[in-house]
Amino acid sequence: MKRVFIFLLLVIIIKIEVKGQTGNLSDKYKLDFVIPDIPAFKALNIDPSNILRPSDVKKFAVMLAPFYNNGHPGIPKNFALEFSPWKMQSKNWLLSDYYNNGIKRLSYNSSFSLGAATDATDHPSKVAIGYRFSFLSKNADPIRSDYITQQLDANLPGRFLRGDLITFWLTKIISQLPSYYITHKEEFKTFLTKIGDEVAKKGLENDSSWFALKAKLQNVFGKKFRLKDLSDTLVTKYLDNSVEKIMDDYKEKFWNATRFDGALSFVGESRDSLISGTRFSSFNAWFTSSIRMKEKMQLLAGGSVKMPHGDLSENDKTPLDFNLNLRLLRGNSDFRFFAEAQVTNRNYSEIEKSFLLNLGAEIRISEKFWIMANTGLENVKEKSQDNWFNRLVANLDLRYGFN
Amino acid sequence: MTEVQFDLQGGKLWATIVMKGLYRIYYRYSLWSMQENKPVVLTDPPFINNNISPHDDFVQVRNDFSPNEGLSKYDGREVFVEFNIINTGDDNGYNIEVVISQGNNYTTSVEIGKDHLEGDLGGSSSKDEFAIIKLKKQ
Repeated sequence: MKRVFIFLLLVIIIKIEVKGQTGNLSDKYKLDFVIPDIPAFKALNIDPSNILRPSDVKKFAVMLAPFYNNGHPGIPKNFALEFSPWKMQSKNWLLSDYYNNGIKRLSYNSSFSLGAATDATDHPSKVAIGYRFSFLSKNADPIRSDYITQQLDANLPGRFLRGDLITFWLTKIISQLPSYYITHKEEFKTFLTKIGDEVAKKGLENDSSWFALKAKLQNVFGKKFRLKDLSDTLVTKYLDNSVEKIMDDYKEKFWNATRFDGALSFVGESRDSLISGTRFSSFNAWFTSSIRMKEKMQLLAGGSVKMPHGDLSENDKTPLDFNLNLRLLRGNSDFRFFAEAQVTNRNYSEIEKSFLLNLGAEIRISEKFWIMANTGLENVKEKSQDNWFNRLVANLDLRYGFN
Repeated sequence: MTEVQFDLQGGKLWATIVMKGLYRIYYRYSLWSMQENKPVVLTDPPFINNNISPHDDFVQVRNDFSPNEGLSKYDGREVFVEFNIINTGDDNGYNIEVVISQGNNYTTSVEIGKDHLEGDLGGSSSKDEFAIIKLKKQ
């Protein structure tokens, strides 16, 4: 009920702007701590739905084919590829290598992206390469989290249920109930079992190992559990559910775990589609540092930089767009209040400089979607005016995959 | 099931569990006697371990109830290792081997065969795998 009320409250917030309305408000005034998953595409402003994702090095090589035209390197018209070479290799890594080697951890949590697009400028063929990386604290890394390890260890009694059944079959059923074994070989092979009645008939129910197995199964599946209910599906479901519960608890507990995420992209452009005629177009960088402050608070510090090609600059100032953001959140994995500040400098838009102070909230509405609402005061200098002025800003936004 | 041939004069048998891939993997090793149609678990207690905590992932293949019996008794016995593979990150695939080696010391023992398990979890959060190696005298 509380969530519904807050949701309705947020929905009725309207976007207001006291002075100087220019363009899309949400594009200019929201603080964006989201590091693009695929920076090359972000830099090209493309959002392809058919991203190629090779799962091994051979596939990666094959997917580069569009960059060759009659044996010469060229820029394809539209192309999108994302690959993580070290993830492809991780199949052959020991877990201890990942735990003990910071370089391996960084490389595993890195990915490259490659994109190409055409537009209507003087240099219409554009190609971008992007790199994304994360430094994760132990609590932010589900592969290394001590919490997950402890929970899995505590859950160990249920981990070898099928092995326990095999043990029981081999030690008791085959030797003591050979006729039953002969007629149930197939069930044995698939670890299905309905031996409860047989065990009782043959007087095995007081056998210590049978008693221990039964107690263990009832401990896992509940007191009402009977062996005849056991199936491969049930065991798999139990194991999956237990892991998923642990992962859900982990996300709930460490939603604000400390981590650093960054992404870089270089864009090149060409008058034709030849790689040899390509020149530098722009450089983009994004970063966000998330710091856990006890269980309920998180400090986010982030920013982004864009450095376009000198020929495109409209004045003599440093051809640099940047913004720096700071946000303090308090809440949990589903609902958070925040206060934030942002400094922005832009050379290529109507608003040249701005300083923003904001208050707001984020509400999770599904696994990946968030609603974010904020309102605050912004101090702005526009290019066409000499003076700074204040204005009230408000924003309601739907976000995907916010961390 | 894989069959591995050992030398009656070659010294002790060892099983090494090599787990590659960024999963949390729990395993339980035990040795089985399948002789005379009366199977018996010869490992007491079963050797349970994982790829998370630092430790040695090898064990001497022996009958815990009669540690000094001759190697000829191991003909037909089975090394049985069950794995519970848990995915807490990305499902990029695993590569597991149970290697049997022979020699009086583990460090100088020579590989004589292995069972190999490879795959991924297909989106599930956990999966069971079994490696079974039948020992045969040369």
